[in-house]
Amino acid sequence: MKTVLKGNSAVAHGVRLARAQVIAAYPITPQTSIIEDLAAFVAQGQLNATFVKVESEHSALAACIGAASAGARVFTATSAQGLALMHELIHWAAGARLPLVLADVNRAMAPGWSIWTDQNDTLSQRDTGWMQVYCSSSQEVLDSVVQAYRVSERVLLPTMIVLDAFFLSHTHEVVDIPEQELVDRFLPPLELPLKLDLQRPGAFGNLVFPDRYMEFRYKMELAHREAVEVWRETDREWGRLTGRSYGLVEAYRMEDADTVLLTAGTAASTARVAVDQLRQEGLAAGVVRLRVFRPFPAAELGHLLAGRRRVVVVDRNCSYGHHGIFHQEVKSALYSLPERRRPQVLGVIAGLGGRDITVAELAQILLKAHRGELEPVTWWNVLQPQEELATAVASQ
Amino acid sequence: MATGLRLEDLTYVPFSERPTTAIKTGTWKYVEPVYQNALPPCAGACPAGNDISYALLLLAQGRVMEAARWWRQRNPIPATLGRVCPHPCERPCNREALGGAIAVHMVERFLGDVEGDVVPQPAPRSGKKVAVVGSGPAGLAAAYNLRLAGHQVCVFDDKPAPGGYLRTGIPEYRLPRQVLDREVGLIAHLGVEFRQRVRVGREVGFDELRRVYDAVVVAVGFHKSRSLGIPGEDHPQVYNGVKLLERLLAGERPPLPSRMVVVGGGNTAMDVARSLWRVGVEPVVVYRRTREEMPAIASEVEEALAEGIPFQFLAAPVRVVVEEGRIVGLECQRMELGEPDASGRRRPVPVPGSEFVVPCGGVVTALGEVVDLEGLPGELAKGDARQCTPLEGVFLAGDMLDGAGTVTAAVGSGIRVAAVVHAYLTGQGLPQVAPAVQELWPRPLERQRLVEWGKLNTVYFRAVPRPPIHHLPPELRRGDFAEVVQGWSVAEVLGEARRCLACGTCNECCNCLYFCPDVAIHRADGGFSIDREHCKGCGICVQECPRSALILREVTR
Repeated sequence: MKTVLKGNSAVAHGVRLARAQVIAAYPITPQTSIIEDLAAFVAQGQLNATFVKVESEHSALAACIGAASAGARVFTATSAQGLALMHELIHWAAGARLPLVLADVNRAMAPGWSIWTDQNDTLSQRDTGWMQVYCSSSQEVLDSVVQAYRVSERVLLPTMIVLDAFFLSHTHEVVDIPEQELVDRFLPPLELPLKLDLQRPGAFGNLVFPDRYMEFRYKMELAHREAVEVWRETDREWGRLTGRSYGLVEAYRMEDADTVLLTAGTAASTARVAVDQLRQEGLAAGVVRLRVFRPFPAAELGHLLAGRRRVVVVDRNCSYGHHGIFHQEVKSALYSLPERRRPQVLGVIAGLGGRDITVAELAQILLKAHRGELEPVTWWNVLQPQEELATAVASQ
Repeated sequence: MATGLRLEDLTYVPFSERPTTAIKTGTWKYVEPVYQNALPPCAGACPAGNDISYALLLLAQGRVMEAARWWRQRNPIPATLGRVCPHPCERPCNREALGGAIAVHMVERFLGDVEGDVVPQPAPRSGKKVAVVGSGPAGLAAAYNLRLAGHQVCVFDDKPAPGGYLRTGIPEYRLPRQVLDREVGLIAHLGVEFRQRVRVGREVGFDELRRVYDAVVVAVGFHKSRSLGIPGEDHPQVYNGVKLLERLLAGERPPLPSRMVVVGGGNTAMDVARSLWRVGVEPVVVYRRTREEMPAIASEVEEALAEGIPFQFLAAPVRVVVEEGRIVGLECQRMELGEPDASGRRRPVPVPGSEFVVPCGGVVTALGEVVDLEGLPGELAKGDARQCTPLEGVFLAGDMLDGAGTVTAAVGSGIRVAAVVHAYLTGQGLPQVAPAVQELWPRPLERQRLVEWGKLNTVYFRAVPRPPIHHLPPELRRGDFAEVVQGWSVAEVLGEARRCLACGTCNECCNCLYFCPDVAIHRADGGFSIDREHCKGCGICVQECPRSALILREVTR
């Protein structure tokens, strides 16, 4: 059924269709309308789930972990400080190998307080063992939530569905809501191999000595490696059922592109328009959108980017003291290519704290890269130090 | 790495079917929870030391007989106290903010009225003999508790029947005689001997008592009235309130003037005025201060007003006006309130030239009473903190010791003196001070820790209104002495018991057990036990206890 939904409502519909059984969440802008919609679904009987009201995000995830340990399909959602507050349990959920799905509406971290988008909140959770999917449309949000449950439950790893604050969370688009029956066929009820069971009392997460700990972590790593193929297969299967699939990375006009803009989230849609414009001016530009960030789609990226002249990575985030995070990840992934096939990889940090990234700006970035005028790392559209200071900085 | 182990042998997540009890998390703690019942505000304020919260807890569980027995562990006259006590316990009640204080007096009255096997068994006979002089509330409480401790007790009293002021000074509309008779009967049934119409110092010598008995408790109360000290007060129609009340309560109906002034603002004044009103006299109460300063129980004043009895406040008698041998009025002087006096109340100051006459045919004085030691040794005038006198083996209780002025305080004093006398008789040595009544409870608790509102976790409590208490309508009260305050039904009392927050009193709500994240709390012996090897001292049980029946204690190693 086609309707118009904002990104947050698309999350809620995805969770409803996935028949989540336990939802525990704490409100935070810009996430709140996700759980408001879900609370309404539960109250109206459209979703047979237990909605647990909690006093913090830490408790929300703790409740989800408890319910998931008992074998329930669970969901939570948060943003920024809320995700940071969950951090301890973010590790726990992955280490406990619980197939949770969490939607994070990307919001810049405080201080200074901001409710607008950037990716540092989710990227700070990069090394916790969660899978991460960065979405660029309401339709993709809904589809990804359903896909995430299937992948998570197959490989026993939790997934974070990530969407940009306001640009996606609160922007209305046409969304095709699949039939429940279709989703049920795609996503069977959860059967965990090991769960809280009164007939088989046991302790989870017990003390593990140095002779075993590494093996458990290695199993988590192996699950991530397996997850790459499971994501491909799941996305293909979803495509077969609905006509919509996205890949782990999404390519746009990449056939003959020699200058590639790589980014994640809604900026990728903007980039497509910029590329269309540049193409009309005769520039062989293309876009690669990083969708599944963990597990890292190194093979897809290598395949798409090998032999290109240059790749500009636009990061709505920064690992302070180094580069944009996607920039450094892509660079490291491409380093294993033979030298002659290895593109130049440039980084642009833009749009932090919800600052707009416009079509014109992205076109300009690509143009500068094409002309060889782009620095290896650029903080885009940001006030620069005054001249004397700039000289002092440069001379250091 | 472990040899011989294959990766496939490991589950995907650390999982053990062995219990985690092997990990002694208890070693982490630096504080630990301890179950500790503490003093609820009601019991802290009860002069008789009634263990209110525990009895209400039993009642809330429907254990009526046990509650009735519990209340009589130390207190011999709950049916009486429930009716006459000004219930200071209800003032600090933590329930106040959540629907109104618990009506403890209604519960006490109900439990006191419960018939059956409600009196504890006395201890085996000690072979010691105690004389109690006076059968008022202090004497009754002393006799009851000494008898329960195993001693032989004989009560001497100069009136025809036991009860002291309960019988001679409290009208039946507050305390029906069958209620008092039953409670006295229960005490007698325990084996306490009552020797009535025997005034010590007249029919029997005080020294003889000391010779025959191992200990003597004197509790004769206040019976001698203060006088007005104004011209005309020796007129035969000027009555002593205590004596007049005694006659009226004994059923006498002497011819009285149709309009009488009652002078005073205490309980005797109220009892006299309301009794006169019942026998057809029109009383007028004259008091030198205002209603605020009246020492009488507030509800008694309210009832007097409800009965339409007029009050002249800020008026002090200066002269009884006699014409042709008959009283025609009481001349009074208008007063105004000045600086506070030693009692903390504002001192009445005469307004010059404000004299006026309250017309009446007679005057009754109710100005307070003092002890009457006629025929008794002067040493009895001074008791100490142990309730001892300078005379070996002679002890004091009740008003004559402390002048507290309420039946409940007299009962508490009797309970305390019994403990002192028992220690004396059993050679345990006398305490430095008589024990507080709460120290004599048969269940352990920390008396120093008063559970005030701030110590409760009030999240767990909802407001529930206090049920109404029904009174006999004033228009039905004239002409007889029918009881004014109506008792509650079992359902009402059980409902009230369930309203009790059980401050500082574990009622096994199990919150501690439910919330313990280490499953270190278990049911044991009708209570709880803490597995100290695994409790890591997080304090959640203490925080979530609604009623502060747990504390955190520092662990010393």
